[in-house]
Amino acid sequence: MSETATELTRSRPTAPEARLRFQVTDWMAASPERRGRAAWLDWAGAPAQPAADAAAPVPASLRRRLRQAGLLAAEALFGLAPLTGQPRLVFCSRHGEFQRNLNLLRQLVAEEPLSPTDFSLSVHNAIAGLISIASGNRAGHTAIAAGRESFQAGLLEAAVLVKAAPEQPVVLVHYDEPLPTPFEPFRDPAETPIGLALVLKAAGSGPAVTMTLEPAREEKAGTEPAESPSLAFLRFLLGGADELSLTGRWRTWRWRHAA
Amino acid sequence: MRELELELKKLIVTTLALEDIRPEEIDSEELLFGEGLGLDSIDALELGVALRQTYGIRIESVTAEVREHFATVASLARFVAASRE
Repeated sequence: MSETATELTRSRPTAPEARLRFQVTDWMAASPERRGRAAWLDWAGAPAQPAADAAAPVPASLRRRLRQAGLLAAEALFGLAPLTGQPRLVFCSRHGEFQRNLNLLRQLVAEEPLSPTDFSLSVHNAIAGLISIASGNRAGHTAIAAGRESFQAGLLEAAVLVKAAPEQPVVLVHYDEPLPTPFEPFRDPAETPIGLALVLKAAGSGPAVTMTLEPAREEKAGTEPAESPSLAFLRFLLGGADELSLTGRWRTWRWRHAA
Repeated sequence: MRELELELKKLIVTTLALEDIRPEEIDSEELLFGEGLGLDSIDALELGVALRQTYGIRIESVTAEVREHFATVASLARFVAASRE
């Protein structure tokens, strides 16, 4: 990037701080180690809650098309309590189902025919499309990739959609997995296989979350987080912390619990 | 032909990751696409690639004839047997 371009992207906004407000009315997460509400509440050090109704299983016809990351996304989404009306869907992932792309690359190198399934599902919004078909959702979906800040960008998109159309709930689905071999040099130490689904609604009476975005202060910019952003957010959501701030390359994302 | 049919059922189950179905459970006369086993067009393409890799059969374009070959395991077995001769 040229010096001018760097300066442009780094220029500090002078507009007043923007604040978004929403409620998270339901959540579900899935990882190879943890499945189900009880396991995640225990992980976050939160008190146990009465068991919810058994979640719908991921249909076999969908399972067989998905690889690890997509399957975790589907498990999280299908694990939510049934919603009245159709939510808009926002999917976010840094790498998507990268295993699939690796498989295609290997087939190209070996001069083998490409797997039609892998090829047809190798674009970033394919998983959103597949899961929206399987769940009968016609409300529209968005698929986001924004590097290390993919979860944050997805949550921003979901919060903005709630602000724009307060009557329609939005389900945010974040999913990722560490890059497979031989891409270890590009792996983030904090990356783990995860699927997280959050139901966002307009803040009414009752607990809400506020979200702000500020320019990162130089000294904190680019520090390596110990936990991936989506897990840090889930811990904040379930646990007792008043605030969560995550500093990305140029911005600090901040969430607070609000009454 | 029975042996070839079972071989094809195994190929279908593994290639298409039908984790909830055992090869023996597929009826040779059952429709593979739409109704019956419920496979779709992506499965058909994937199966085409598997036939090419396993039996060296190349399917260049989808004609009405190819559709008939792909209707059931029994018709697929007749097609594979004829192509191998």
